[in-house]
Parts: sequence; C-alpha cells; structure tokens
Amino acid sequence: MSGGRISTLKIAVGNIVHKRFRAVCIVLLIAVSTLLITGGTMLGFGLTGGVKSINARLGADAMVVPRSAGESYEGALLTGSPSTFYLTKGTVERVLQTEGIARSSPQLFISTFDSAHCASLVQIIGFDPKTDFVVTPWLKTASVTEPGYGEIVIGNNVQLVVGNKMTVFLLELEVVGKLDKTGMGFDNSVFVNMDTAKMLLTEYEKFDGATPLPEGATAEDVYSAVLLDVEKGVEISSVQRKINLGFRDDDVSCVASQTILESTAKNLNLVIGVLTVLLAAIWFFAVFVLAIIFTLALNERQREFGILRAIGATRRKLTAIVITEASLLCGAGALAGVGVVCLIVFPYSTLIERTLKTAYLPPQSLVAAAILVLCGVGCAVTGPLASLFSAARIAKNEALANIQEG
Amino acid sequence: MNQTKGRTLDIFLLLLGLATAIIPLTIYHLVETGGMGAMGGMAMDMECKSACEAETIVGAAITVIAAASLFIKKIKLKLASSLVLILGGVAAIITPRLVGLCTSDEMACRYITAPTVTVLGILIIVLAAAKLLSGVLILHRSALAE
Repeated sequence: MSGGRISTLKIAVGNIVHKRFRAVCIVLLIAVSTLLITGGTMLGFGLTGGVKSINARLGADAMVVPRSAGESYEGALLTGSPSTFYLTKGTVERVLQTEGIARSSPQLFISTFDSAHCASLVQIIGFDPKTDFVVTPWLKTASVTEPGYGEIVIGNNVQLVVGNKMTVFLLELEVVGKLDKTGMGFDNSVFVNMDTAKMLLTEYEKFDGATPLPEGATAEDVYSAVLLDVEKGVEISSVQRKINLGFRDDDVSCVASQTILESTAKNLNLVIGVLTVLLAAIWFFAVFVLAIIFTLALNERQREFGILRAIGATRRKLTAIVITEASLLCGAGALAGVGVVCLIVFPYSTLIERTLKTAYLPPQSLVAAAILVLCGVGCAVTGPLASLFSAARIAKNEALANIQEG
Repeated sequence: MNQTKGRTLDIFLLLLGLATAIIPLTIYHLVETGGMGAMGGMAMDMECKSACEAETIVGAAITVIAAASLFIKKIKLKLASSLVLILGGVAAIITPRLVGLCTSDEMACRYITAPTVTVLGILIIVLAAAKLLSGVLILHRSALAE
C-alpha cells in the first residue's frame, strides 16, 4: 500500500471488486427493476396521452358507417389500420333526413396498397371542405394549408415533408401540410378533399385486391362515413337509436363518439391502474430483496467492520462505506436499466404503438427525459435505502463485538 | 484486458456484423416485390430495397473486419481495426436512412428493421469502443514498463 489516506470510495470499490458475483447480481436486479419501472411508466404516459388525444380529436357527436365496417372504422380511427368501405349516396341522403341532426359532413375512406404502386400503406381520408367541421379546425389550429385538388395533408408518421410528392395508385400527389403527432390512426393517414378522394377512388378500383364498389355505383355515388352533430337539446343517443332502428335493413350503424371514447378510456384506465400497482410492487420487491442481500452480506462482514473500527474508522465512516457501496451498485444498475429502456422504447416506438392496437401518444422528449431521470434516480436510491438499517446496526456495534460476532 | 476477453469481444462483434448483414435481407423481409395491388402482373421493388442491400454490405464488412481482428497480433493493428469497427457501427445506423426507406412509419422496414439495425449499430460502437480502450490501456502500460 502506498501509505496514502484510504478513502471511503476506495474501500467501497475494493469491496465490490472483491465480491464480483454479488455485485453483478445486485446490478442485474436493479437494472431489471429500472427497465420494468421506467418502461411501464413510459407506457402509462403513452396510453394516457392517447386517451387525451382521442378526446381532443373526436370533433363530431356521432358517425354513420356501414354496420359491417364498424370495427374497420374504429381501427382506422384509433390505430390507423387502413380499410376501404362504402355507403351509397342514396342511403346517406335518407339517413340525413333523420330528425335532430344539426349538421353533417361526409368522408371517404380508401386504403392504399402495400406495394410499389403506392409510396406506403396509409389510410386516405377524403373530406368535403364545404361542409366539414372536424378536419378543417385541426388544420387551422396546426396552421396547415387546406389541400386543393391533387394535394394532400399527411399524418405525422408519413415520412415526407411539405413540397415532396407522394405516389398513390401510381399518381404523384403534392404534400401541402403535415399534422402533429396524435397517437391515433390519423398519424398514418393522408387527408385529401372530396374531389381528390373521388379521383383516387376511381384509380383504386383499377387495381387487383380493391374493395369493389356497390353494384351499379360509381366513385361519385359513394361515401364511407358521415359525421354528425345533433341539434342543441337533443340527446345523441335518441338520434343514434332512430338511425340504428330506422336503417336496420340498409346495413347502416350510427356510433356515438362518446361511446368510442368511453370504451377506450375505460379499458385504458384499467390497464393503467394495474400497471401502477405492478410497478409499485416491483419497486418494493427490489427494496425488500436488496434489504435481505445487504443484511446477509453485512452479517458476513462484521469482522471486517470490527477491524476497521479498531484501526480508527468512525461509525460514520462505516455507514458511509456501506451506503457508497450500495449507491455505486444501484447507480450502475439504474444506468444500465435506463440505457436498455432507451434502446427499446425510442427506436421501437412505432412497433409498440402497432402492438398495443389502441391510441398511444408517446411522451414528448422533455417529459420522456424527466421520466428517465426520475425513474433512474428512484431505482438508484433503492440500494442505499435498503442498506440503511444494516449499516446502522453494524456501525452501532463496538469493534470487539463486531470481530467476535464475525 | 486479457487476450481471452479481447477475443470474446471480437466474436461478439463478428456475430453483430453477421446479424446486421443478414437481418435486413431475411428475417424482416425488407425486400418485398409485387404483392397486393399488382396491376397487369407488374412487380416492382419496394423503396427500401437499395437501403437493404447497402446495409448488408456494411454488415458483411463489419463481419470481415471482426473476423480478421481475431487473428491480428499487433496491438496497433488491433487499435486500427477497433476504430474501423466504430465507424462501421456508425455506418450501420446511418446507411438505411441515407439510402432511403419506405415513406410510412407503418412499413416493416421503418418500425422493425431500422430500429434493429440502430440497436445493432449502437452495440457494435460500444463493444468496438471497449476494445479500443483496452488496446490503448495495454499500449499505455507497455510504454510505462519500458
């Protein structure tokens, strides 16, 4: 030994190096706990963000869609699973005569193909700017230009920028705007005006695998959905009932926005609740296991602490050695856990969104950074916290007692 | 770091290089031709085909360098190979983005292949950096001994 002062850090590092297997086990335990806690927290924030996003974007009281396409519509709305379905113009006109409807606007849903004829698999949503009261307000809020004929506004997941051209059914359409992330199906959608949508539907029908138009109908004769707002003082459910009962034979279904939101929110709140309990349980489990590990490890080392006391180490010094050791191990574990979370959560965020099959809006960078730091620190303090009791007990004993007990 | 640990790092790097070369071509089907929506039997390559081929070349280069460094004895050559492997890791990450992937995040090349090669690239960089650091330490120690 050089004869220099032995620092607390030096002793702690020496102990860790000397007991490598134990050190690796503790680091792994904390790394896995950090991974689960941080990953779970990110997931919880993403799901909550998704529900808020749906709440903000479902701008109509209800939607009329073909009954057979109810799930496709919800899929297109929440997860962006592209689909094509039709309502004939005649049916739409009759539905809109239902009492209690204040305003309405048709939309046309067309799915592109997962092939070279389309730049990517997206949901095309055609809206009528003259009657629309849902898409146009978002475009205005996001300062996005309303698309003209042959122009498109793209969702956030479409990897193009304003001014680019996008190939759709072998046609080149100009991107005039890009929407912010919504965490919903709209991120994988392309918005066009109704004239462009009709033209695209004509092109779509030329390809193998296209959903055929209703018998005798042309692209001009169909829509996919109609968004409705009911008159003031009228119950949405009463209009919904009238449409569902009155048009039972026309394969028409009226879905209230609140129903979609409530069912999604209810399910997600349940998931978030279970997730929170699980994460808390994981943290307490980690503290408990570490407390046992440190108690056993420090019991084995009573002799070592007795000798340290005999050669002049204060009680405070002994406590500091134990806590430094625990902090180093748990700090390394937390850092490794956060690193793995970064390698999974950020690169694979789209895969996570797809797998969840529900509205998922990942936390923004600042919030994500705060979650990483807080969860990392929370897991890193597990060790010092768990070792406090054992450290205090060891430090309390007299040197001779420690040597004898060891 | 002793010779066994250095060799272990080389073997890991070799496996990562192999994964980088093979994954884009096979497991995740980055290359898809024709498929649904073909018109008149016309089949065209997906936009990400070139990116996939370029990534395979980068992965193959990493594999060859890692394999070669298993047999290299001279420490300075080992250092140079580590440096090249770090650059290889960077290339594995940026190549698909530079060459161009499909337009939507909903395409498999964007949500599986690109993140996977990014993670592989990061691991290659970290392991190659560890190898470089151990080489520098060996050089430093031998210089002190002299």
